[in-house]
Amino acid sequence: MDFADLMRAKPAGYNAAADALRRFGEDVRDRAVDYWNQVAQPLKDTSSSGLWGGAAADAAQVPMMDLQLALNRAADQIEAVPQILTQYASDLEGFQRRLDGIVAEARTVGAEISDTGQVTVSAQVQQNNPDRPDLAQEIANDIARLLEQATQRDVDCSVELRDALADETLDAHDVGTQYRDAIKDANRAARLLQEGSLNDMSDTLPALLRENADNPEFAAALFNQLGGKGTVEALERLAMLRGMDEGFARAGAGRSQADELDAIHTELGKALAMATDPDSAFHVDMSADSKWMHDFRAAGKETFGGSAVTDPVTGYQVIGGVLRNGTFSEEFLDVVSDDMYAMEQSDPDVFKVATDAKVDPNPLDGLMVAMEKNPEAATEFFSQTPERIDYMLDRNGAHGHEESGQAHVIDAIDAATRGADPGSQRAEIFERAVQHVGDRSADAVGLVNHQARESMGQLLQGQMGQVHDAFGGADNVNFDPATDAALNRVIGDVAHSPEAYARLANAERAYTVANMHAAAEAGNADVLVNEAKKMGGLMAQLDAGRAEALGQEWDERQEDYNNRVNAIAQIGGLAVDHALGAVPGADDITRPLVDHLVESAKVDYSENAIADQSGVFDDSRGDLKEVAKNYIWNYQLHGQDLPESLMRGSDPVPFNEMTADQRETLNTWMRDHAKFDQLAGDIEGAYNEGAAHARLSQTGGA
Amino acid sequence: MSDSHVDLESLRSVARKTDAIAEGRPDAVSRAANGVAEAMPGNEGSPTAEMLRVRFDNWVENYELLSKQVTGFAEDLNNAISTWDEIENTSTDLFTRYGKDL
Repeated sequence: MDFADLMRAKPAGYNAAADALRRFGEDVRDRAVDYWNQVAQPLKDTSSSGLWGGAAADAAQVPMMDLQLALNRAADQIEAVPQILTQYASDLEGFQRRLDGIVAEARTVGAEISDTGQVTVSAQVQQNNPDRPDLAQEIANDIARLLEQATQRDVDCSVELRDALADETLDAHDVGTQYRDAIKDANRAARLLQEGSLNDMSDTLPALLRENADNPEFAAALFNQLGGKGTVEALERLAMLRGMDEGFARAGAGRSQADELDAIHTELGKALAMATDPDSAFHVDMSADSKWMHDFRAAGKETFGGSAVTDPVTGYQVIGGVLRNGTFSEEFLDVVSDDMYAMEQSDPDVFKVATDAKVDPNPLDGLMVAMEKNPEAATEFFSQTPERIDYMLDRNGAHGHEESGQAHVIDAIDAATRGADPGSQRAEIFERAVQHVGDRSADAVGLVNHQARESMGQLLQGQMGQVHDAFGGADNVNFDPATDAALNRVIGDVAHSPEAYARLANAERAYTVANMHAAAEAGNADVLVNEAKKMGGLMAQLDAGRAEALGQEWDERQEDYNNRVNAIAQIGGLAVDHALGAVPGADDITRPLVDHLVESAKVDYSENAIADQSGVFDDSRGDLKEVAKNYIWNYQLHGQDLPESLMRGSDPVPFNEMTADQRETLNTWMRDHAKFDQLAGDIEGAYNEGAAHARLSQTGGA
Repeated sequence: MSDSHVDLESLRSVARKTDAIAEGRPDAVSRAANGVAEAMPGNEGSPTAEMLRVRFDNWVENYELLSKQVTGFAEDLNNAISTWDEIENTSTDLFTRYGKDL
């Protein structure tokens, strides 16, 4: 894609195509559903109570169902396209806006850009910009970088379209044949899982499962064939073979086939997840009262093994392992999670294994990983009772579980609460988690373990708006006082993780800028000042935690800490995206400023590698003051008239676009108009006030 | 093989619905094609636009073949019903004649 291509591209055309295909997709889906309800359903019943039977009725069955499969496939394919086009149109608009921005900025400084993107800078213009030694090349590089990104996105989108509208046949006979092949494969896989030897399984099953990955017909047929009990038995058998294989390998009795067996385990998990999807045309009925689920649960609660190679373990321990793969349905997770939780509640040692059995030492860890991918199931699980949240957060270590187990619990809570409205049931889960982790009472279990700090940071980031407002004094109406009390301790603690520190700092900066923008647009200087106070409060908590971390466990590795912060800052866009999403409409306008902040943050953080600990408080304050000054100036919040030479039309000339003469005029004007500096000073003062209060509250136990 | 039986009235109703589904919604494909065409002006040379055009055309071709197959199934169903009708009518005629001969 060249300059002219991007300039003339029409995102609206893709949106129009998306709208048309969305309507068409509905039409194709309706046709498939109508065919099922009005044709296939009545005709497939050839029993004596059905509407027909005999040779003709029997002969009709295969072509009739082949048509159903093909109609379903057609609907699946075309329905995927509108989303791809809408996303691409939005991205294309973004690229065009950025290109317009580069061109406008270049023309402001006097550079010329042709219709084909050639940049020309006269000697005079170059002389006027001594701080940009090769202005033409700099602008050309900016354009080239942007075009490269736009081109890559264009190619990526074309690949997405190619995959969605795959050159796969819609010929009903072929679709039916593929389906029957998948059923044959499923039957073969089921037989191997039930009775195949170690060699047969490792030779054949991985390929069979991989060939049918993403094939819901195969998955449904496989687990229907196995049944609920047979599925658990197959997983148990796999665990036993894994143990045997390890024994053989240890004894030098042949090559270990652990890789193949692990691949079977992974693929089987993905297939099972696919089969749990009740919205798929091909799924296994796993509703709570289905026979499949009844048998599955019963087998999950039974113990097996106890041989020379494994201790007796429960069926749920082999189930827990496969839950780490694929995305399981809420319907399925609701049932198995209640079972697992209840089992551990009634016997804390139920999932304990004495030796290295090839099963999940605790299936609730696998369950948490599954819930990270299914926010609805996570919400359902954690909203049962507040005590359930406490228990899940505390159980790490108490039962000899893997150390990362607590991180998985917090990630699952994050999935359940991300973006929750204040006061909602989901927000209550968040508050309970913060209260519990930040609890200072004598019998409190304490803060999260080291591995879980990053997850805790992400959890806080998921509620950035509420967390930010918690530092707003009278503005803080979102959280329970107990959450406020615990929040400072938790924020200070997560800053011991450089990744958590960097993500939260980026998000907070971005969120503050977005709010300041909204305040400036509304001409509200008071809100602008209060936003600074909130940021001061939150950043002070983070920085206090960071200073403590640098003086304690990072003492010998301060450079490592800062390098890791820097690495996150470079991908800070993720945090920024999320933070901006919390302020509707702010994204487009504030992104350049936020990008600038993130860029400058990189430099600041790197410099901090050699700064003394007290210096860490200065970065945020400096950045914020700079941003605030721009807002006060650009939106004329100082309320005073400006000299004509500092105006461009009805707007002030932005600071970064002023000529040397204009800067001279500005300095003179500022000397006579104290209101500007006073407002900027108010903002810095508010930041300091927030910071001072926050530091006291963290260290003083307030 | 299932036991031979037929509820002709219900089967005729299913056949009518199959005919309607085979016919599809008039102009649905052409409206979608017009929508896709709107993505082209201004986006010439874009891999996305080109892939959309080519793949959608292929897809429509495949979908039309599928529609023909649904039509074919509907015809088979109608033929089966006619055959049953014919047998029923022939049988009725036979028995009528037999009655007259008596």
